[in-house]
Amino acid sequence: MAGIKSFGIYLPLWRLPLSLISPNLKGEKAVAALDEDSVTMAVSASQECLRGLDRKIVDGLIFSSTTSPYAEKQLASLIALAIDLRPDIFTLDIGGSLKAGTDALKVAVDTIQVRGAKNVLVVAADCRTASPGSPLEMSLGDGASAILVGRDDVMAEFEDSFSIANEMMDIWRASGQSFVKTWEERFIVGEGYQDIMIKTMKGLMDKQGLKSSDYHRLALYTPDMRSHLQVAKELGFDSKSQVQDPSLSKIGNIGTPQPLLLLGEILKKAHEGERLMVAGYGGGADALSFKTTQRVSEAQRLRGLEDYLKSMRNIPDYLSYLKSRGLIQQDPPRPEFGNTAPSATSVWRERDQIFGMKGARCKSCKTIQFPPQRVCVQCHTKDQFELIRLADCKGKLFSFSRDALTDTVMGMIDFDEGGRMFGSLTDCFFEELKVDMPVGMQFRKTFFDGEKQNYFWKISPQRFNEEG
Amino acid sequence: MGGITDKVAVVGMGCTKFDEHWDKSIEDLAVEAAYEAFEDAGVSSEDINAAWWGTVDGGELGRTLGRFLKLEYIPITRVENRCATGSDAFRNACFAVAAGMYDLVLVLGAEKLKDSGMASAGFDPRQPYTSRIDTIIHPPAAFAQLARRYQHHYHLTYDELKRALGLIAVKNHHNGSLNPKAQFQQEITLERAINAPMVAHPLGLFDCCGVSDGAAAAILTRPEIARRMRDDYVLVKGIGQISGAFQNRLRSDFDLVHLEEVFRSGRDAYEQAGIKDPRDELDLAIVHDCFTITEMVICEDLGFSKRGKAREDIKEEVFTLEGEIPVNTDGGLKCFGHPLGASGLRMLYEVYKQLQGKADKRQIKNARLGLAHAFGGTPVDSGVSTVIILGGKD
Repeated sequence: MAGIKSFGIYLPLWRLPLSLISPNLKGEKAVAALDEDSVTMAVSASQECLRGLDRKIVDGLIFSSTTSPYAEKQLASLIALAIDLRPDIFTLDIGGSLKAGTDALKVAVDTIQVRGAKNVLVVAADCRTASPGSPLEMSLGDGASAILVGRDDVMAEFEDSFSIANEMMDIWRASGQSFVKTWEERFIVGEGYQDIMIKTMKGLMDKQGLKSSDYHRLALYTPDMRSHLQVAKELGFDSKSQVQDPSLSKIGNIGTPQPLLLLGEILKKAHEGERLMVAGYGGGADALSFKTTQRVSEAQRLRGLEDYLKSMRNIPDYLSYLKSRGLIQQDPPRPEFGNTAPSATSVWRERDQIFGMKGARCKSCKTIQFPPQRVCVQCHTKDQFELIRLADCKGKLFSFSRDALTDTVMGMIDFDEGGRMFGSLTDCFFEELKVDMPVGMQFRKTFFDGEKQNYFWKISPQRFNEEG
Repeated sequence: MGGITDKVAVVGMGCTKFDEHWDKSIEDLAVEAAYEAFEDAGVSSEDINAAWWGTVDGGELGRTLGRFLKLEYIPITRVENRCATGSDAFRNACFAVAAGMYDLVLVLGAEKLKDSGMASAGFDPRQPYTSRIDTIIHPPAAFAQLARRYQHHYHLTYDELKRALGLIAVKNHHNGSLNPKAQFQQEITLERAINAPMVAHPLGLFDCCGVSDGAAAAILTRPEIARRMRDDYVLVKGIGQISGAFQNRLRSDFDLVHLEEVFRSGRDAYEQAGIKDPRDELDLAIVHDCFTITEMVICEDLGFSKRGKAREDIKEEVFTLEGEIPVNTDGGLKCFGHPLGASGLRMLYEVYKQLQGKADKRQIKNARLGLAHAFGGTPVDSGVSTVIILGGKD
């Protein structure tokens, strides 16, 4: 047996109203901040998914993305470190296709059913870029979603799946290129997306011996606002009552995580005993069927699309978006500060402190200190520390300022559990910052030396009021 | 603990104009400062037994200074302690003289900030072969946090804070206007200071010290030798130097409204100099006003004002040239800029001249005891603070 134990989504704080690209455009899309990429968003969604759960139960992590920041280097292992998973786990990156999210879901189910793993975390994130001003740019959004697939105590049990492979140049990005490319829309939607989705979903229905009315809710990947409705209609589904709205006009097409995000949305609405179908598309399609248990009511407590939409803020201008995508070159302050490349050796040695954000708590006097020290700052006891993860801790802003040269905001925070740190602030409006305001930690990009991307945790005002 | 009191005499000092010296190299500045000091002491470079070279970025090894001045085959030590570099070079030279190891030594600090192409204060503390994870913080943003905390802690309105800081800038600019060696020699109004463009909120342009090139030098000997050299030599009365250990960001109980290093270095120096009430006993103080907020906090840490009360003393003109304890009589870092290695010696230069009665329009009446204070580091991690007290011979 295998099924869904939890889920978590992440949408950046920032939304780009399309009218900033061109005044007559309507709608908006979610856009990653300057210091975000697929890895940081994957960390944020995973943190959401695992909130309140013991992280030691996770036996595997699959990271799905078409926009991994490295062509060669595994990121699942970095994400695992950042979200504090055990080291003796199975990690896998899946890329290359927008159905990498549903692919990962299938692999996770198989790993549990066939290989005997108990819990596998699937996290998908994308941060795709199209040529500025192109129609595709208007439609692509950024985001992430994570699903914890487990053997026991699930909110929805896996029933069956069906996949089709299909070669077609419909949407692609050549190695070494930055922009996603596409072919003529009527061809790729008609002969590609719709044809393959219908065949795949039909394949699953036939395999299960079920008809459209046997499925209560559908989470279907869609490249636009209409095509998935035509697919559903063709198969006899009612688009209003059965098909989850993908909210493309609010967040854009977030790519790989899109079907998983929609799966989270239908889980939040579902009652016990409902059958759900999720389908992903890209180089073919996957369709998976789940049946909800009495635990599905727990899904209502998890944060969903509406929570994120409510807390989003407008990006100031199109220029900020172009900058954040690296589409406009901005000269660094001269001379460049901090232009020495990070040492891969030092980063490796400090990996728990950097990626896991582990501080040290003195066993003798209980003082928490970050970064970890050899000699206690309070009682001077040597080497009597236990590591304590601070990334999940909340705190209060003690002091802050903005550096005019680099236009960065930095500050000192005191963690509610004790301990203090000085660091960079992100996702904030300087004018809204106040001493003592509640803050939390966000995993973000820091310094790129042209070869290696550094990541670390930054401080940000708490995005959600109620904390679970 | 032993003391340094009356064991070392200053017999010569030199100081260049601090400025944007586009047409001068660090060698030019070092030579200028050294030769003014040689002339002041009535000695030549051949008479120097040992030297201390204070610079952060101006050249490694003692040989850099050796080449500038052609100090041939003598011991030269290069000292680096960020913004306290010049003061610490002076301090170490004092120890060598007090130990009787050398008869006549040179301390020289110099820095050339303006070759960097950088408009702001500060420099890149390059840390090769590290993870580069630490947030890079430029000095204005670091000290802005001290200002923000000070305002919060003492329940000041933004306007109250800005007025107090503005008055410090106005005072230092007035003093600088009387000093031909200062980078900025013009007075400013309080309105101009308060309304200046923001650098790192709440610190505006006039809350920040200038950025300049400069060099300063001192020649030290033992008092028995000094007596044969000149009548108006000056004696070292006390030296306190304290380093922090990152307590400010490792310990949540640090308040970020004072600088513990400054308080403790002052306490040590006062003890050696036999000073009980610094506000009453000191005739002047040249302190590390890298930012106006720093001067305000230092005045409390060094005991010139009670905690949280510097603002009232500033209003009551306690620190002006005519005040109870004049602070930064030469214009301070505000008007001199802050060429790191040179600043500590520039501060001592003013105290030295004041004690000799040679401070021209800035002269304090009956100046007998003066203090020079330097602070390196930031309030959001920790720093080094050096307090040196000089006195006229009795």
